[in-house]
Amino acid sequence: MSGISELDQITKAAAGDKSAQAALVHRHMPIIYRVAYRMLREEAEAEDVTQETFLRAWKALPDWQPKAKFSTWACTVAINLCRDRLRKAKPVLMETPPETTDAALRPEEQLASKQAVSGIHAQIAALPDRQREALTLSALEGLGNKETAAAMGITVHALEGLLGRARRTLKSVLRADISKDEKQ
Amino acid sequence: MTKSAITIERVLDLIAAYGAHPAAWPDHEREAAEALLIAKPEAFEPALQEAVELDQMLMQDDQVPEPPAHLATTIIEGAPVAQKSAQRQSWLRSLFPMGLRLPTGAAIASLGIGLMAGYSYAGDTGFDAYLESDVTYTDTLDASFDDWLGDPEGGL
Repeated sequence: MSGISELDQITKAAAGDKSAQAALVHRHMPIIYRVAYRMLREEAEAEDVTQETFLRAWKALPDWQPKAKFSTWACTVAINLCRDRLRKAKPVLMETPPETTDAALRPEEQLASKQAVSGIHAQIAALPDRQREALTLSALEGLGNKETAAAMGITVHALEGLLGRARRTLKSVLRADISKDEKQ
Repeated sequence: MTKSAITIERVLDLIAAYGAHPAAWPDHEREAAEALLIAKPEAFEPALQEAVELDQMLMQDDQVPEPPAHLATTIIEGAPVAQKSAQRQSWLRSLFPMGLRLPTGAAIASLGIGLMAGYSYAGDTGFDAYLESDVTYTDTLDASFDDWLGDPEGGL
């Protein structure tokens, strides 16, 4: 943000300043959308969650207290909305991963690469919600540990526990997949 | 955390939670942890190797589509609009940068002067002046219609 504090921008946005509102949206929308997509694996759902997050932001801005960064607050809202949707959705929402073939790879390598990507998508999706949230915000979106913990409403210590368990689960599952492939 | 305060166990915890890349570790522990990695590489090699493999796998999970182009527009359209009264106030403020008290005071003073002038003029042309005037008004319609038409010879 060049020369203007986040609080100034929020104050202006709350007062109806269109350029401040646009700056807020362009700055924070991509991460909210990505987090929602990673949690829900469905573009339309991610779009709805992003839109709903900003609707709530517009309502909250007039009474905004600069206790947390806007991005942390927005991620918290987005995660809660995703949790609601995942709770309601039976079975868990999944979308076919997009085509990710690399022209430089031979057909059998392309297939293996596709399976690996599909495998990691599936394994992350299969993690318990809290572990997936922690991994999404911290490892995949690169939020700092304090910001991730704040967004999830937990301590940094608890976050590290979730991340550790998530990574251990993924490692064991992926190792099992590799050994299965080697046997075949 | 100082370089000497971090333990091998803590660095292993960092690797287990955040992966092999020090950039992902908490800022306040990074420097000390990296120093310990360099000082005792053998203590961390197996953990780092495992973490690197997983980090590479996680990096493959980057197939996230871009938000659709219309989404930002839709969100901005739903944003609060500036209140008209607020706009009017800001317009007035731009006219009177010293504040609104000065023009308000001037308006009240003008009103007072206007009222005083009005009353003083009304005193001169009021009911007393009417009583004292030489003009006589008829209170009955006992004149003929011709009186109202004036001199018929002179014509209208």
